[in-house]
Amino acid sequence: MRGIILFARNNGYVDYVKIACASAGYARKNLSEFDEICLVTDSASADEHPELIKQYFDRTIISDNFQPENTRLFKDTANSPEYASFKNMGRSEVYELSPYEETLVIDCDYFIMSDTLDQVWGSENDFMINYQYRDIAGRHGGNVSYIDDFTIPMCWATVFFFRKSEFAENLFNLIIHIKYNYKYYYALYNCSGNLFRNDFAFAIALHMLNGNVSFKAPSLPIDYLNNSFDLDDIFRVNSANDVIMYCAKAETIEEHLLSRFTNTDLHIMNKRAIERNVDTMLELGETL
Amino acid sequence: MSRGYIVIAQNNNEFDYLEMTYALALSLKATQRENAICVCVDEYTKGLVQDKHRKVFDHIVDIPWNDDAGADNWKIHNKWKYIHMSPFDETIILDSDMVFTHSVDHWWDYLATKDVWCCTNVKTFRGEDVVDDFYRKKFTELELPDVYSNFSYFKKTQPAYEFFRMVELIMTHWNVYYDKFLKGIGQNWMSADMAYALAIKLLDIEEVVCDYDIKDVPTFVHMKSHVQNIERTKIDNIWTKSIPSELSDNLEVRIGNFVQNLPVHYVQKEWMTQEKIATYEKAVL
Repeated sequence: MRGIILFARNNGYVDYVKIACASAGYARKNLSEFDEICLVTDSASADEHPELIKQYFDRTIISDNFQPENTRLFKDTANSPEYASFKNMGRSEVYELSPYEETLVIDCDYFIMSDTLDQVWGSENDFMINYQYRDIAGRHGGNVSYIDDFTIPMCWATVFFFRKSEFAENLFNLIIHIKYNYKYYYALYNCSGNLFRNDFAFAIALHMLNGNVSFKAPSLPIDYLNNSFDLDDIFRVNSANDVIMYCAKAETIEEHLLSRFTNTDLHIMNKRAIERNVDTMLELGETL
Repeated sequence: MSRGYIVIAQNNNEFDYLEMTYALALSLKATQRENAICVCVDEYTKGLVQDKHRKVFDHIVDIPWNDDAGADNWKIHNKWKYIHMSPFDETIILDSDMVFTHSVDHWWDYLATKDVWCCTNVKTFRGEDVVDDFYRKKFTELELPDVYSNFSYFKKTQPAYEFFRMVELIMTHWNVYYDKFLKGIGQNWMSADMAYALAIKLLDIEEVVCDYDIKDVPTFVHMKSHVQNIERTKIDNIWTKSIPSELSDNLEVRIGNFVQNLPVHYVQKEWMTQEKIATYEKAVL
């Protein structure tokens, strides 16, 4: 079985479950080689949109695991920054939770608008993730980030693939260990901030699992992530593979350039922008 | 065919190159099957050689034809004499401030395909290829071969003697060669790397003694601060002030959480402490 898994737990600020439904609709529309799309959520979040979930997901897994308090800053372009809780601790449990032999995990704010990720199915790699990213607005110059200037390269846990295997099992066990001891590993790897980040945990685990030597896990079929950071906005959604974005200028982030993206997977980090367009996205995506 | 490493150890007022070479020799004994080392010393340094050094140095050779370094603190002036000092048929040149971490024995047969093989690719502590020319502006400006004299390989053949003869001419007539070929931006002092690079260029043997396509043999981790792919303003000129590092009891060298598996050129002489030397001694002797 091949499945796509999305994690979504509402936090009273962002309706992650609704966004996940839109993202699932895009995945179903643009990919064809998978068997199921699965939502991992908690009981309270599932109760908010029972009908919508049935329309977009083949399977729902309820995981009410305790989520330690994790707070992050949410931005909607350069305006209205707000802090809200951020329930991202469940992702490391995906190896145990996944009922699939091959699993593609995507963030609920990752919109699959091409068929590229169909190439992951049947891969000989046990695990694939990207280390490079591109800022669609071009504000961030480099395409590789380090966890810290003096330590390891960061990978992006926004999208990753794994197959049930010894390597993947060990990897996720290690990620869980890092999650429960992340303050120690943050100190060891000079990680900035106090927010637990899956990106950091995955990068640290991959580094450790490979003997602490220079190493990069195999990349996904396109070896970088297209990131739209939260200073950007959505101008118009044309179809399930066509969106026009407001990209914040590097020099003056209050000003934007219009950029159109077609047949390009996109990580849209401005949740408010997605929420403003989510009904259109739900309509354009494919239901069961 | 004998194979071994050669190092010039000349102490100055500031640093104990003999002790650094001792640590290097111990690391060779700990990690390499081909671990013979020839240590070349001047009269002063020779007087500092102790029994512990003799135990791990396979050959101790006097630097011949006087000490060209004289009173200079940075003693690189004798680096044209390697071919005359080496007791081995095949030799790899090292600097004192290096340590070996894992076996590179398999490199020898590969290096032996050339008479002289100058290292042209070095790595950051993260294992990335060094691409920054911060310390090598003149190399870039004058399109000199991007060679590192340490970890150069040679065998005692006619082309190798010709190469070292050219290096000798450049080093002993530095001002002449500098004025004629090396004026411009960047350093104006003599370095072995620059002398080797100019010799290669003048002899037109870059394609013979260098191989830019092969990034992993020969190579080493070069710990000069500003080639580490870290923004200039974020790393101290002395890398040890910015990046944590350690030598573990099982002789694993870790720099910034990366276990090093290539030879490491640690550059900062104070990195090699008596404590680290004791760790090597405990493991090897």
